[in-house]
Amino acid sequence: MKPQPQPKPLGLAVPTGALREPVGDLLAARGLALDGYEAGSRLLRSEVNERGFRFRVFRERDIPIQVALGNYDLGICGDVWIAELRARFPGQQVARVGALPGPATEVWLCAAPGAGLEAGQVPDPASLDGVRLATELPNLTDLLASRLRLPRYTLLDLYGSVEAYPPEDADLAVVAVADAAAVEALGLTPLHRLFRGGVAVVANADSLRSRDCSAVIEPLSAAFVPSEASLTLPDRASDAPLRRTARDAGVLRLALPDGHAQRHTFAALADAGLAFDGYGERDCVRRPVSPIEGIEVKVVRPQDMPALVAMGAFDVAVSGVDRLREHLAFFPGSPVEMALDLRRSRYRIGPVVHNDFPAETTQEALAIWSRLGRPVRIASEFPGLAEEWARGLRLPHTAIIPIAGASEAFVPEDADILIEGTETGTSLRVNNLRMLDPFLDSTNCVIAATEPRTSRLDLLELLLERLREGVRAAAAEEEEAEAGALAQGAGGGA
Amino acid sequence: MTETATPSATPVPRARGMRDLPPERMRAFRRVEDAFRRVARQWGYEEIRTPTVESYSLFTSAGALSPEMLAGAYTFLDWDGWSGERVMLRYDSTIPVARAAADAGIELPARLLYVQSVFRGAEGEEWQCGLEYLGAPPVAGDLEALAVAADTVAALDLPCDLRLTHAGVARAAVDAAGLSDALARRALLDDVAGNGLAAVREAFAEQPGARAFLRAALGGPGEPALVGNLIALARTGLPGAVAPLEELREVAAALTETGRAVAIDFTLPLDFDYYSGVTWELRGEGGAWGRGGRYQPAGAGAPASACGFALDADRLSAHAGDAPTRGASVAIVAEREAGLADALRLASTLHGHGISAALGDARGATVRLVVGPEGITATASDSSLERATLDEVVRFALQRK
Repeated sequence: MKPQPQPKPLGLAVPTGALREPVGDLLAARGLALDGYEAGSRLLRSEVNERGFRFRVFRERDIPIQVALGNYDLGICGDVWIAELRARFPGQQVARVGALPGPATEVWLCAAPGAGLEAGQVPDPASLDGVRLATELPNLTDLLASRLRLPRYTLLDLYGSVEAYPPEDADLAVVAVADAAAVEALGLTPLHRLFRGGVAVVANADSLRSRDCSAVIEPLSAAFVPSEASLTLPDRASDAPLRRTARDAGVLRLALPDGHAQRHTFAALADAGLAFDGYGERDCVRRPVSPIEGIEVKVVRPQDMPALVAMGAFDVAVSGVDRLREHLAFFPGSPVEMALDLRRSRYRIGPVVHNDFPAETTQEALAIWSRLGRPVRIASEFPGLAEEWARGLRLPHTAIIPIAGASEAFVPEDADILIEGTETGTSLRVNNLRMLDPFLDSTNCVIAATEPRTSRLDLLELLLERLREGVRAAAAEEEEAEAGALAQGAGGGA
Repeated sequence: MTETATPSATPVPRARGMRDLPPERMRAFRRVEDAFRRVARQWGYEEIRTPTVESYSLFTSAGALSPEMLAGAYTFLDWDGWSGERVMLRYDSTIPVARAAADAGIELPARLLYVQSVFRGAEGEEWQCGLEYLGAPPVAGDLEALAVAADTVAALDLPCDLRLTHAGVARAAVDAAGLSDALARRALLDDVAGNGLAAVREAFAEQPGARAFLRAALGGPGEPALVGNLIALARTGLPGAVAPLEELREVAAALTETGRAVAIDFTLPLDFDYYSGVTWELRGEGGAWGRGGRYQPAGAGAPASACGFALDADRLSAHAGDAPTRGASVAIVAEREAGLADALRLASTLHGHGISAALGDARGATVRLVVGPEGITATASDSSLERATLDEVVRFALQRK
């Protein structure tokens, strides 16, 4: 008798980030403790556990997508990410099973205090032609824009730090926060609450109809709370016009990064003898003060910088070679270029596979990928680079899966290849992965507009010269240290 | 050494929502578009074609697409996407044609026809035969557009019922609902676009005159006489609807007098928010062949009013029946390599006489010519010729064309 194929084990997608700890505690309290999911762990996946299911850790925004695709039967994430998916793809196979106790998230349309609007006032739509909207939630924001019947608008689809954009770099922002008070704490005026939700259990609609998910659903259902997610599009507008702020071309606008890139940038600035008040090695404010008069500084996410420089919002920014190449992979004619390699934050990007994958090199792997008989699934936080790489190898049939993070969890079940960066390889090793042949060495770098909007080109040249000197000084120091170490080694051996 | 993969033999499926038109469907499609072009050209329409990709802002600026429609549009970032500006696959042809006419400085009135596809959410790609009569005069313009559409369907020997409504009646009802807030009014107009006049019913719970009007209007399709009754009810119940209804009566009367069967139907959805006047639907075989009406084009330099329609070319071609195959009628086979040039010359000669001919065997060919060292041999099902001259071959093929 032909052996029956084993059914795929039940899959549960759980969140990383701020929800990791409360969700982990809740699961443990319901008898569903996940080994390796505890706060601080770098493990992103499990094998099938004794209850018959496996789990994977994802960034929250990827969870409804993974559940909709059927890669996971169940997931736990903020309602806001379910709403964001449904706003663009209403037919997706995602069912909200129930709400869990957890922090509420509200999505607010907001403006800078100088925009002439009071809390609760949706601006007169007639004053919004050509408005710039900054957000991390592009689908909900598009829905809002279409309800407001905005004739023309620019949507700044950002990786983060949205609150930093109004008023100079965006006229309005759509932010996800705890409540209206949190909007005000960000220095913005809350105009309209677009969405409210909490933490939800979601299921793939087909799985819910046809698979036994009770091993997870039953213990969780006892914790369900009576909370519904609500989307409220504005049905009233005020007659107050939006007051807008244009960028000042009389200053040089510089963007500095937050997040992982901050300490490397701080070091590069220190090498150049530049100390920005409010921009430390770890802490920063959104608008640090430049030691050089005439330079206006703002701290934003490095991923967003190439587009912001191309658009003319900033003349110059400290970003990464990876981010610039990713931007140029999508928009090869974009008017932004590398002005200076700062040579810090060095890491390699390349194809990552599971340790069990039977190939040591990309060349060997190509023969395997070409014989799959289905699309080669490539997950990456750099979808542009991933596509460029696949094109270069002439991979005939690929599916590029753009992801928000926690990327190591995707291979091998949900992707064949990960296009990923690694500095030390620790995270890859922990997750039983390895890199084949890297194809890009990335460092942090200064990027600049090919035709800067500023009239202060003298300041641009001054800033670049100072940074160049800093790079030279750091290189000299490094050489000296290496020579010293060599001499010490030679002396020690004598 | 460059590392590259070997090509895959795995078939790649069509993109979701997209359809092929294989030869059989394509022949039927050509029948539809030929009929449409022929009829429209009799009325003086000239063909225009607009780009497949337009600026997203073109459609949002026109204000004619509801949030639900925009949510179903194919939008993406193009090469200049770094600017935050998106592009969109053509969702509708009316807005791009009006833009193209303004860009090209086409003088009004302008009669423009098009055959092109639109791209909409789950439906994917849809082919349409349509026209835009920019600067069309009231009533006469409506009748002309209606006649082109109805005559096209008639030319395909398909049944055609005509249902008429007037967007001005729904607008009058929205005005009478007394919504001072622009967004609330917009939301109600969106509802009307999707669901027709029925969407306003709730707004008149306390107004018996308006309720009586709406009850009569929404009672289902009626004869043209219904319009007279509605005018009588509107004088007290919804005065703003009287003028649109009088225009509707004029159009319906002209159509009836020319022998066309007309139904008045206020349950018709308006689809697009740009409709402002008489709006209509052609039906047959259990569905709609197309819709059209009078609208208010948006944008600088746009005419005060225009008429247009779009026929569903996919549905029409599915019902229009098969057309004869158009493969080559003569197959020319060279017996040896040296005969290829002679075969090629022979094909050109036959083409010059209006005979379709192909090199090599051709499925469905009625004549087979073999070019050999001894001359040309022609074979058909009824007879054959040996060592034929060029003139004999042409005559032979013409007799069996």
